[in-house]
Amino acid sequence: MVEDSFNLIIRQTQTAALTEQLHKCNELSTRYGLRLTDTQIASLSRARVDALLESGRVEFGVGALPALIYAFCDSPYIVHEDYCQTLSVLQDLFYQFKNELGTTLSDEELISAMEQIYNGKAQGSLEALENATTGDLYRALTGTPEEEEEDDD
Amino acid sequence: MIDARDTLAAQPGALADASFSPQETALIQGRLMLLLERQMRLQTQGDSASLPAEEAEELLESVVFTLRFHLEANGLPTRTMLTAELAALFAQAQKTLFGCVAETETLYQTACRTVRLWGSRSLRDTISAIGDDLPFYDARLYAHRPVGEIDYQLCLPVPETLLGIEYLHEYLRRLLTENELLARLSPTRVQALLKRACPEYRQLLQNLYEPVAANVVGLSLLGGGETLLEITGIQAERIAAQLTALPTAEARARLRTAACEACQRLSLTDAFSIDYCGKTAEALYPRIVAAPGSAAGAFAVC
Repeated sequence: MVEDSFNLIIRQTQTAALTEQLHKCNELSTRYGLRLTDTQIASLSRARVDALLESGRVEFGVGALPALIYAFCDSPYIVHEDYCQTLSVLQDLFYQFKNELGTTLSDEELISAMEQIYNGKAQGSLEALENATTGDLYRALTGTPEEEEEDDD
Repeated sequence: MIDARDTLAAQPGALADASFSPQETALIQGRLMLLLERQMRLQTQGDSASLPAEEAEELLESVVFTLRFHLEANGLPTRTMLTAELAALFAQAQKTLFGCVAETETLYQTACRTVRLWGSRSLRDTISAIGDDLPFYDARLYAHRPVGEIDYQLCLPVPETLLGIEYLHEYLRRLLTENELLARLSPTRVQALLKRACPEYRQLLQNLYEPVAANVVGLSLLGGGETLLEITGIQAERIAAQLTALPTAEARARLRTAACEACQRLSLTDAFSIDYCGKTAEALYPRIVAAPGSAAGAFAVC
């Protein structure tokens, strides 16, 4: 429909830019044995639109995926077989955390905190990363150790 | 994804007009999205590429408001949005809006210097709240947001279609207009009239202009003596008889003329003051003729 043409144009424009960016990301991630196929790139682009709709956010530009790839591609916990799925979950978590954190962390800081947790105490567990609190994210970013719980005895 | 059509439709006046074809609407939406992207970058200071949809919609609302304000202020057709380079048009629109902000600040300073409070708590609080809020008005990103918590009720309220600084500008303009009339009369007589009209007026959200203007117009209908501000019950009945003897349209016109004559006698010569008093006078008509004896209530008789 003509009425919806603009949203369509925006999505198409952004998707084209994102596709190009993800191909560029492949050049780096290949060094770590990770590469997205064209089908996976298309699937991640669609997943981005869904993630934005799901999180109720509006975004211009290519979004967080390229930055997530740059931050996570050297992780020892990501293997080629799960690469696309992992990125899709990381993308969902990114927008989810953005909503929880408001404006307190920039995109760059949030991705850095996620990467610290994922490669650190979560040891590659997406579930553990999903359960990270905002406090965990702040601590991960600043490198502050978690306070030990006081022993009641 | 947000849809600029909703924001366009929600805006009163120029941009909401339906003269755009669907293709043109789509084109305008595309152009607005480019402005929105820029506003989002400004809002997040480049820290974030995304925003919650509600916040993005608010930014878009501000963009549309700013453009509408500029087009209306300069008598430009809505179609300018299709033909002009939108970023440049928006920059001009922001300048127009900043001009309005400066004018509003001047109006506010004038109000602080000249508006007499008459002990009205709501008027005092309103002026104070505007002063607290005005320095924080964000014309760049949230131009459509209301400025100040306005409790004090004007005799002729500002249309709800006005937003942001445009609303406050009009509010202060009307407030100063109301004050102009009161300032031309004896403070003792004004105070006495206000107490007659509403003994608790200090604590209530009571407009101060309306009862005074009513008596000014009433006395004008009786031939003059407006500065006395006193109307007896018998005089009120005479006014009612005078008006009910006329067809409605003629009676309303008579009230407007009386208001105009009163303004002249009080040296209120600006067109806005005269029109304001005239509209207030016309609004008295249904109250005066509502029932036998109702005129006494309309004029706060003594």
